[in-house]
Amino acid sequence: MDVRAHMSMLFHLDKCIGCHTCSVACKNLWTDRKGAEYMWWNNVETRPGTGYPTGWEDQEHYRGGWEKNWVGVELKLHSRPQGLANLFYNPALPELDDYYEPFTFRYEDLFNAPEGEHQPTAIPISAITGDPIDIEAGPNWDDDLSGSNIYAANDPNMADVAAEVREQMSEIERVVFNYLPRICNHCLNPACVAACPSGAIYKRGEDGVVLVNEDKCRAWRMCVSACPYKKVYYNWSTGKSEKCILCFPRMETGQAPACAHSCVGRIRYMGVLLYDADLIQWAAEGPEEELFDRQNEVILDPFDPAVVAAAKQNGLDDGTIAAAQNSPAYKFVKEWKLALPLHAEYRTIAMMFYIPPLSPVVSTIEQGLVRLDISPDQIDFELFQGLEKARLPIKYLANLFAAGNEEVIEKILRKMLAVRIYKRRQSVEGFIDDATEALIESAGTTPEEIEAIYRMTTLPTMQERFVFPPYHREMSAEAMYGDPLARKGETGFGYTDAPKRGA
Amino acid sequence: MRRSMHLVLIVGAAMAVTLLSSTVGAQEEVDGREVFLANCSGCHQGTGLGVTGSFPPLAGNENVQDTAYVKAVIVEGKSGPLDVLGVSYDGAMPAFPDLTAAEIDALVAYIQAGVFIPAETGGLEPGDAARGKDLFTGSDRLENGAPACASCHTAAGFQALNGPALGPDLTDVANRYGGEEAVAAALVSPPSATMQPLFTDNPIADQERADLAAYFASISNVRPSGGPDILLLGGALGAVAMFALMLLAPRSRRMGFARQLRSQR
Repeated sequence: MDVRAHMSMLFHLDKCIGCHTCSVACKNLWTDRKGAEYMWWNNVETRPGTGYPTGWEDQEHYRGGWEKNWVGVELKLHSRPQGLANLFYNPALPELDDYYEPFTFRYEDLFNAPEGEHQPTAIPISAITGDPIDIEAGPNWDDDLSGSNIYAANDPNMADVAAEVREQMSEIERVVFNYLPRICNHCLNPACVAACPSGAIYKRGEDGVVLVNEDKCRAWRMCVSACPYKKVYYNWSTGKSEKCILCFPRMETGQAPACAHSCVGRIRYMGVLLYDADLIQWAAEGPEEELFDRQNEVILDPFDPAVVAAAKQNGLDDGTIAAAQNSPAYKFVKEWKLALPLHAEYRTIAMMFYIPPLSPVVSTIEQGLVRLDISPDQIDFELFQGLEKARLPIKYLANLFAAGNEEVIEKILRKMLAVRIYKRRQSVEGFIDDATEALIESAGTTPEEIEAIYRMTTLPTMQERFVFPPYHREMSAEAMYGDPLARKGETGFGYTDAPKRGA
Repeated sequence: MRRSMHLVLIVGAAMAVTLLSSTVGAQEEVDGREVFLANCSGCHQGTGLGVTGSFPPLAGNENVQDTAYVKAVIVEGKSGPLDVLGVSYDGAMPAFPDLTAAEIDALVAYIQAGVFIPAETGGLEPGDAARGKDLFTGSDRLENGAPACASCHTAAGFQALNGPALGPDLTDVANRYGGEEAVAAALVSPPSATMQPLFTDNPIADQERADLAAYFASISNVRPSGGPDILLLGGALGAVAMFALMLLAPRSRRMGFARQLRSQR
């Protein structure tokens, strides 16, 4: 058992209001630079939709992630010999139009335009060339438009949803949608790391953050293609790849990453997950239907004395173990089994988790009419019994979060509905009837668990949502540079790593 | 840590030896011939005959008997047109300010004695041009471990694509230096700044010098083949072939996902 710690973020999709505050916080902090205009390390997509970059989930086009074949698990982009042969030829790269051409507006026209009959306008110009452009796309194009016939109609996750269900979805005024905030998944089996010919990308040992070493990056851009989530970006100005760094400088000082900290809906949780690095390959090679179960095996129980002992042997300190025991990520993922990674079938073992959304408002269509005549509690039970009538098709959610396995999603939605129904009975009626108790049991939960889920979902404090281990950077600084006071009072010129020839 | 200790020890030992040997050397009598071969023979040639048009001869030159003049030239250098024995020379001679007074005295005495190469050639066996070629190309190693000439030089087109081009072509070096003996003498202390560090520590043995000089003399009349420059020609043809391949490659890029969707509109 090789126990390591991983910082994992958890997205409670039921709470996301699609305000893009996370994206803007991230943009302002990290990608407001030349060459990074088009990058959104954090973005929020309206689903159904093709997301950003357009159609990133279509791996036949983009060839991201891993696939299982007779060798074992191999990059979908290329085998090793192919990678060498095609080093200079990588047609699977997304092009600028797949992201969008970044733009701004010529604001000075508002002040400098000669006097005329009409109000001056600020026309859009490309942020790359400065020439006027016709804006065709943006990072959240089609925002709130789940039924757009260009993008949403081509959502790869809708491909195998039954035709009549898709028909129904577009009938309800094309307004059924949910939001999907996305950052780098900091995978356990990262395809970007495997694809880099320069060995410039690595996964940090202490918290699992996947980082690009900008000194070693040689602009091959294999990472851009290999990442199935398209979360590595190429900076056209510096000629280096960049990606979400999980705000590690913030985490190291005990602050939540900017996206999580600024989240208006408080949908984001962060905590330590202990994992067994020896099991990663086994988990990545599993048959498709077992992928998530195996990932769950890789994540270890921080209360298990054997795990704690192995963790200590691996150099994890008591603070990290305590943080793992307190981790909201652990509770949602492993204890309550409510959270799933995005697209487990990519076999990268994504370590950011999503709690799938319940359908927006409970109502189903019967013979073309919305039934308004039944009481709310009946509707509750009706939806619980007939999840296939939920507005967001189970198949669709399963394609997003469970490699197409509807049972997994149904189990989670039942449990979440049970929480909702139980708490509604409790607070509206003041008592729990037998039918509700039976329902809770059939959802596989208990009143205690429901209380805990309810509390963590609706009323968590900042300290409950974000549980960071002490990073003890002062100790690693001492280990690397010796006495931190040795150079105090000096001018500060010089190198920590002296320049030298060769690699 | 341990390795750096070793390094310090080795470097320290090497420095001690160098220091010791240099102090010992200073006490010995200076050999004017050695000073001459180390500093002067590159231009004035071991024969003392100089190079026509550039470097004036010292043998038979009346001016060298003027001790003060010679010393001044050695210390300060000299340049510009100079007529010696009715021939005009316009090379430039650098100053040699690092020579000690003892060295200069010995050197002047050696020059004034006027006994240059002929005194030495007697010691050299006649060279074997075939072996000289092997030494030149590196088929035979130089005795003291210096790199073969062909590491940098080419001569008489001994190799396809004209051979190395780092140093000058040595095909007519025997003509330029004024004969086989001059080459053999020059090799005692090769004249260029690039060669000096290589051959000072690993001098070319006497017999090797003779062989090499014989080889250079044997090829001194070879004209480099007048054919086209194969490297240039091959490069040009290769470039044309690459451009042709590029023309054959599919011209249109794969259509991006977003553009595909928009084109369905």
